[in-house]
Amino acid sequence: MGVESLGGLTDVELAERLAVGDTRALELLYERYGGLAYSVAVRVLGDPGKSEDVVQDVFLKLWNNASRFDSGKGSLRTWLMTSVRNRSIDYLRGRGAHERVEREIPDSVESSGAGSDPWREVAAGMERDVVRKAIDTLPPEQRQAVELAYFGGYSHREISEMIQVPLSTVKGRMRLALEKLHSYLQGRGLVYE
Amino acid sequence: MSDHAELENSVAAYVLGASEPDEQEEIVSHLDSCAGCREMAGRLQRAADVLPMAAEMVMPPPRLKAKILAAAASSPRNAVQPPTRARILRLPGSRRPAFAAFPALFESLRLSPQAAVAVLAVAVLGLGAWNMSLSNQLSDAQRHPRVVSAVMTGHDQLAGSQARVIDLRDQGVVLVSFSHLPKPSADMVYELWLITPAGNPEKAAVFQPEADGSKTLVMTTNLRGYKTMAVTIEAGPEGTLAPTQLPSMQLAMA
Repeated sequence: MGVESLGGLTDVELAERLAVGDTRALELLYERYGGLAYSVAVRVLGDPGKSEDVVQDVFLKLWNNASRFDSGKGSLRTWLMTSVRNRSIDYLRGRGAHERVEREIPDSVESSGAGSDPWREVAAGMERDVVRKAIDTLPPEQRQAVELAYFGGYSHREISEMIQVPLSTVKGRMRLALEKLHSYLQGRGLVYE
Repeated sequence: MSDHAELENSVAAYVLGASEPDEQEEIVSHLDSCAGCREMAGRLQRAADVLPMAAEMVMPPPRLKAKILAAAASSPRNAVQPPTRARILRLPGSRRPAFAAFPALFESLRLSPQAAVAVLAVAVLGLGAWNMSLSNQLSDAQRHPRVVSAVMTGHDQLAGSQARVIDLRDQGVVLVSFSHLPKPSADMVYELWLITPAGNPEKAAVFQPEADGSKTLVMTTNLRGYKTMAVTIEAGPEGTLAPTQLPSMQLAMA
């Protein structure tokens, strides 16, 4: 059975195959999420070479720890992207990954369903469009707070000093931004309540 | 920070990874005990989880997939203990190097070409004893080896540590898979050096081991032209421009 024949498997099923050492599952997961993972790393680091290192580290970590992946605790995509983002920030700040306490996989049972990869790519493209539109609907100051935190890796205190507004205001902007994003995305079926 | 309103207002920053380390514990503790904030955290988390989709798509170079699959195939999960001396790839009944017969082999193994590269390297290395009997082919291959593997052993502060080095010359990829590395002391990192015949060290990698003492480095480089591979422990996080101590692990390559 070649890689193509695994294309209809869900992420959860691919994770199960990873756990027993099936390199085709890793290859397919890379084909599904390697581009997005690399894009996130480039967005954070702005450096293609370092971004390659980060993506490689994260996929190897997944490979070496696949048996510990608990699909009941969250989606594989979320775990991958959170890991890429965190490791990129660590890289940016010169911190060893061991210094960060890894966030637990979110307590949601979001599972990417099976489907052909062409459809998956179309769906992913649509999802990206919706997320960008959602972010575009945010007031500039809220969008700035979220982007500096998530992609810049700045703490709320650093953002407060950087843009010279009170810390409580920065926190409030982050909260409002995420509430609005959730509401927008929920209305379009991208997240549940 | 103890006021509920203040904690509630900090949840979004926590979800975005933007809270300060000294307040994270307090927020986590609060979420354990406050159902309302916990529900809000879940909601905000679901919004934050899709933020990666906002990154502009940039396609990774094709070599990245090959590097990941090669490194995965050579990780400790798939490791076959290699011989201590470098062996040359030859398949039975063929005067061609093993790489020439690669497509048929990986098809039979049902592995992708990239993943099969390192698996094949390790597996064929296990045929070392058989290989020794093919002295004529061996002597030819020794002049132009395609894959070379060796073990680098630690001493002094790295006693008990080991690294398997696989040079996939056709791929221009070198895999160095460490095991049993002790965690370096605070603010220190491991640094891998490639040393020229003239004795000039060139920085090849700076790294921290994983929690279990393992680390796999995948480097796109050519080891020809270097005499020694060495590991030292240097000041982090960037390492140093030249070794400041004698190596605790080294491999003579020439």
